[in-house]
Amino acid sequence: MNFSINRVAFIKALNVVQRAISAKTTIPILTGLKIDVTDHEIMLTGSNADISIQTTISTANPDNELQIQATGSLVLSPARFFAEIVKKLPDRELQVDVADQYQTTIKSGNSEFNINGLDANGYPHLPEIDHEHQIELPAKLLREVISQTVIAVSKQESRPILTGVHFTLEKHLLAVATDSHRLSQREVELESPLTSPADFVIPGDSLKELSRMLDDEEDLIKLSLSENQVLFTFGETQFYSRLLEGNYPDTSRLIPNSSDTKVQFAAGELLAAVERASLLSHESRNNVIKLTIKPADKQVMITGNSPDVGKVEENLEPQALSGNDLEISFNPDYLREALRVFGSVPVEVAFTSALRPFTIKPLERPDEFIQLITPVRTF
Amino acid sequence: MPTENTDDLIMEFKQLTANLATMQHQVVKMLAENEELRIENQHLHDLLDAHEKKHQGVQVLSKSKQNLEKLYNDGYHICNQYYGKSRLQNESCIFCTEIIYGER
Repeated sequence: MNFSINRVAFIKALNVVQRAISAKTTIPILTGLKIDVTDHEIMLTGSNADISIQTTISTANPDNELQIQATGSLVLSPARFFAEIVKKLPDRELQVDVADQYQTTIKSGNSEFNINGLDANGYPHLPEIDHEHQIELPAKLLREVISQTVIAVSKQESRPILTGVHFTLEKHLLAVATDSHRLSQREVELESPLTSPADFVIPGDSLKELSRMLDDEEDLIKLSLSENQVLFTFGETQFYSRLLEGNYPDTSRLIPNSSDTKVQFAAGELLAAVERASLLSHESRNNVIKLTIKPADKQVMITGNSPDVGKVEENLEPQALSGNDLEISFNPDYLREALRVFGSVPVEVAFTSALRPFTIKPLERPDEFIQLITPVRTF
Repeated sequence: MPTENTDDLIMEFKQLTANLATMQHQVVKMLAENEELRIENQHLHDLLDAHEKKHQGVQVLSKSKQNLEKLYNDGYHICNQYYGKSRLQNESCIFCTEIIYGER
């Protein structure tokens, strides 16, 4: 293997791949960076067993100033060390040359590093991807779907399947997450429906990492499936994530189809009131706030109480209000996180009874996005 | 006189022991009575609640669902996912509430 390349272009690719590489891993070779050089491109791979990121640098792009003299594969470990070297090299170009026994020479300007590489055959293979289950989504939409659902993912490792977001693909893309206290569901119409339906569970942490990488993306993201991995392709980069094994609980019947009491709020105003009330509930042992709704008197009151510290009461000003009287108590943190994803749009909060979950939907396009929060029983 | 004193003491102790025994007996009796009354009270409250709920038109749970509700309120999961596990910090569970209060 022997190539020379523009240093800035190489650092950019290294930064992308390094997101997947962790110093702590059970498979030692995964602390390394895999470099594959073929006739027309260099492919960099990083992985932590949960996610793998691959990116290519092509000779076709003149900015890369890529010249390949000899092909081959190699693993450089630890990757962080190699990246530090590349970042500190003096010249605008660098040359990588691999001799026998994976002895690697990195040259730039007057500086020359000799480091030991590893055999690339010891590096795990990335899965073959099935092209039957493939959809395309705009990056902005995918980011939105992720941000709306990952909030409800369980943080408890004792419930592995609930630490992921459940995707169902058919005519629509349906993304559901629940930690058994609240639930968030987003539906997206697919432009070209799949011939055969698919459903899979992607770990919430993988999605958060993916979402960070999509920050500057504007184009279409391609999503493809394999046996136990999902692949997102965007630009020069491929993002693989493992899927969670096991059956996701049936969530379709959790969503109530009717409601007795409905209240409309500006999401931002309700959020501010909930945050104020939670100041006191956080000081109390059970962290609960109460909502008292009296449609006849056009009154909605939020109460937070902490026996040791004191209490707070606030009269809310709903935009619309209908149905039966209701008193309901719940954990304010769930409502706060739920409202944050709405931003400042108007929302409808619908209640069935003091013991059944209540729903929050955007007033515009209410079929697309719904969140559920379970109340807490108070004595 | 030392002997007289001891005799007195012994008498006193016997008296005390007898008193203590009676008191223990009474406490046990009262505890039993208290428990009976508590159960009785619970029954009456249940009846009253059911009656009130009927008046308000709120759904009345079937006997089996009431049992599940009781288990849930005692702090255990009754849903398929976590059946029998205790609910940490009395957190609400969306799956349990669906089973107890859901429209099925």
